[in-house]
Amino acid sequence: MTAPRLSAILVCVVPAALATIGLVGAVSAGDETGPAPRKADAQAVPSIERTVRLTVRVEGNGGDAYVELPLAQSDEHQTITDETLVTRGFQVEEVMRDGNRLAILTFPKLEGPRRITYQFTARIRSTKVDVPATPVSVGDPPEEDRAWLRPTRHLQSTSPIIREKLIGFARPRMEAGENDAIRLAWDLARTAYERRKDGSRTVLKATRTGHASDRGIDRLFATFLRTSGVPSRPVFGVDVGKRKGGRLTTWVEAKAGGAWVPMSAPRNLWGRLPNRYVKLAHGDRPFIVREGVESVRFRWKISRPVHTAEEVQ
Amino acid sequence: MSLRISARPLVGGAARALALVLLLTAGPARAALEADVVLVYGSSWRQVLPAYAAAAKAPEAGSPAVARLPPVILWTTGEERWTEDVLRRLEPKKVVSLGPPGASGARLEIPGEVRHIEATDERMGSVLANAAFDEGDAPPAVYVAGGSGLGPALAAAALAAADRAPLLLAGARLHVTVREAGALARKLGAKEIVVVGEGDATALAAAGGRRVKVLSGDEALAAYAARARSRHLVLASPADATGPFSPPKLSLLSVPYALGKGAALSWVDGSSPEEVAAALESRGEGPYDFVTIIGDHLAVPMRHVEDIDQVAAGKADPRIHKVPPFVDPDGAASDRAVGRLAALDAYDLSRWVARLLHDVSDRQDGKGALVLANADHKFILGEAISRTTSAELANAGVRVESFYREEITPELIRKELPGHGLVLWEGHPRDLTLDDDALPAPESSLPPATFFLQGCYTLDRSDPYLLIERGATSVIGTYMAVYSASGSGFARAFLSSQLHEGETAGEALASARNYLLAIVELKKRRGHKDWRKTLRAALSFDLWGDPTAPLSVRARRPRKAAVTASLRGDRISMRIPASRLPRVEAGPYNAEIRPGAQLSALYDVDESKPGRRLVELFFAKVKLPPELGDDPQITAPYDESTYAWVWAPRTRKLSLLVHEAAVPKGAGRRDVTLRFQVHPGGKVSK
Repeated sequence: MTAPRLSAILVCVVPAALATIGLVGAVSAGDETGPAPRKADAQAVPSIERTVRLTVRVEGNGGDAYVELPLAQSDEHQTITDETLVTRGFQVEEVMRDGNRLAILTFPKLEGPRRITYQFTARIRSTKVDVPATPVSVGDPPEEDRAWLRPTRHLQSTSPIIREKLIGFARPRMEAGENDAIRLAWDLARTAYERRKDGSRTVLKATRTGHASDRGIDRLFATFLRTSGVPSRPVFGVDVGKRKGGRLTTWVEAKAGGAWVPMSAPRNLWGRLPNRYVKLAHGDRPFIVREGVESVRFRWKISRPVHTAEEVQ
Repeated sequence: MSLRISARPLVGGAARALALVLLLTAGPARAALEADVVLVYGSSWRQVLPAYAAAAKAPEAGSPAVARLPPVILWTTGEERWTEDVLRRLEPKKVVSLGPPGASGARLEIPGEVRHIEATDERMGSVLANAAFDEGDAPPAVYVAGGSGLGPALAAAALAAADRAPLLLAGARLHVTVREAGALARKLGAKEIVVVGEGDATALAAAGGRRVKVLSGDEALAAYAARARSRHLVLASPADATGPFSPPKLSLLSVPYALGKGAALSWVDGSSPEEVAAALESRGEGPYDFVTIIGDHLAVPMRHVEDIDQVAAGKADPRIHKVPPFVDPDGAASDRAVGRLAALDAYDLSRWVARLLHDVSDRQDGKGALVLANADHKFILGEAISRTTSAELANAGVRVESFYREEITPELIRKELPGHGLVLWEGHPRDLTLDDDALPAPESSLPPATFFLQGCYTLDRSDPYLLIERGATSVIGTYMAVYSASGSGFARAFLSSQLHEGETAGEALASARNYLLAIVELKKRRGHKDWRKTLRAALSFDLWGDPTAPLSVRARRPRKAAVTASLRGDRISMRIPASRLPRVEAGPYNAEIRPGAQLSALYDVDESKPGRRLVELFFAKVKLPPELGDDPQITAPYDESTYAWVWAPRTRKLSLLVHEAAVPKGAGRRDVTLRFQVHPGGKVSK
């Protein structure tokens, strides 16, 4: 799905106001197939505000450079303001694809390094929703869910290794009357794998070896959901509360009761997303897609926003 | 140009009749769908199976096919990239695009002239029958798949396509469909209606107004097998299309594959593949020298064995391994060429089957071989053997690019993977396709290549599925841990069989397995203790691909002649040529061997020379006549520790392995002929 090209973005800096154009809610309503998730009564957690700067270094090799950069979107969890994209010679077009807002950056015959800087301010609220029970499904899914149920590179949901693991785990519980696919997938991902920092990140290897990294457990959970007929998708986000190391992080969204709800099995986030996470993109896709370049590297800078006030005397 | 036919859900007979009239006037009369490619949106068998019957044409003269079917490619949202890729390769001029109402609006770039046909699951059979057949076509029958089971429907589709006859799929009311079949039969000039499933022929004949024959699913398969008359059997499990937890529906693709290969077709539901093949052969079908299994290991199960090496070592909780079908866990010789088509879903498999049956190569495809060995610096012995395999390929005129150790980088893999017809990975397994987590390389489509992933558990990783998704035609890998010498020896034996004897992928796999099994026998004769690891390697390898496929790269007659063997009377002569491949070295190991010679973990240590010289092994296969019995014994004027064999009674093939110590001292660098005597043993047929 390609959104109308926004001519205003062809300049190097995205006016902040444009950030709200064409938003697709991350917690969006779909077909109401069951009780919709509702906001749980949560302790009042204040929102926080952070400025996020992502610097991407693209090394050209003389080819036509193509870079896809996810742009943050406002939703119930986060409000994005003061958004700028400094492209330094790259042509830019904003598109919506699979619910992601993407900056498509191109540079013909790019030689040498170029920097792209993407900056925004996010007001982030903690999210907590009840997750309605969702039965294991049989038969063909609704058209709009197909994309989030198919096996993909990291979510090999129809692999016999995955199906065997899930069936072996779920069958006794289903025979005992349980039929909540999300709970079954959650319990399997959380209990059947040893959580290790250096564990496997791929679902098949994790299932063979029995250990998985946090990324691997998130992928396992999303994979088991798809196997059970529950639409799911990995999410890329930035952890603004992390002080050291890589700030790029992942969790999972499951479609329950017609809405996408945040979950993370390794971090025990059942329908919860703390206010330290800013969502950037979803789906089993690279964080930054690139073609025709030698290499791409990126780094983050997180800061508290500085507001200019006027002294009235 | 785009022609659109739509048969949305109909209400009442008049509306249905009107829709049919519109359909019949939509295009010119034709005996089958005029299509270079048939696209089907979704994977509903009620959409797919009638398409097989409607698109089938008579096979070309000399073709083994039972019917000539254009590529039938299933696709859905998310499959656009690879579907468009295979369409680009197929370069169709006419495409028929099928799907439920509204499907043709789905976004897919389709080359050529496109004809859209939309109908509900219930109506697609009828719509296609009327679109593809016309008065005077006079098919032998109109087929009706009765009941709700997929097995009989698949059998009916195969039979209908073989007869170039229309197929209707009955719903809950069989007699209604038979009545419709009767009207169709009258229009087309078909003399009878064949119902596959259950039903009362007399009552159905009254409904159809035509003679009705009722065949069970098994009878339909037998009738189809009689048309195929092949030594190739396709096994699938229709149960893989129903139930919870995302069944992959791979059995849907068993029909076009069997039709295209001219192979018989059967189901394994509740039985093992070995039992099914034996049962068919016992009733006079076959014999089946080639078996293609369509389905993953949940649909078509594999035997499980405890790790033989760990059991011998007394480990209390040994690993459990899967053993490929038709492989004997105790090490009996392999006697069938077996391959498995296991993809993540029917969409991937439909493209794979299209690649296997139709030429999808394009001029951009690399034709040579890529060898990547010992990327982790751990398998020096395997690297030494791998270097001789590269030399063997080069000797047969194959363009080879080989990389070792630190030369193998993610960038190199990314760059080289799409450019070759054969990729041999040897060493510690890794997923070549996954790359970095956040910044993976662009997903390149692949040429119709063979990927030989020689390492531990390589078929239990992500790569095989992703390689197939992107365009590979074969993946050879393992279900167990494999030591590098056995693994590299297996790969070398596999490629030698293809290069020097023209064996297909399945035959070469069986030959390489028998080579390792003969090594086990030789090691036992020589008193080596570690033969169990070799046996485990022999049981490990499996082919995901077409067992009848030839070598995937261009080769020519070898520059230097290879080891050969022949039988005259009851004597086997093995000719060992003088000329050798270039010497290779890796760490302390070195080898300078003759073309077609094999290697394993056996080496000589000569105190006067540095390093460890790998021992040459000579391996040959000979078919023995019945008069040499069903348990022949071999003797030779050489020490008994220098030769061993394995024997496959079903094919009467003897695989003979000879240690270089059997070559007379002083032979120097000249051709040598070794002679072996075959003694009749067991039951002897005169």
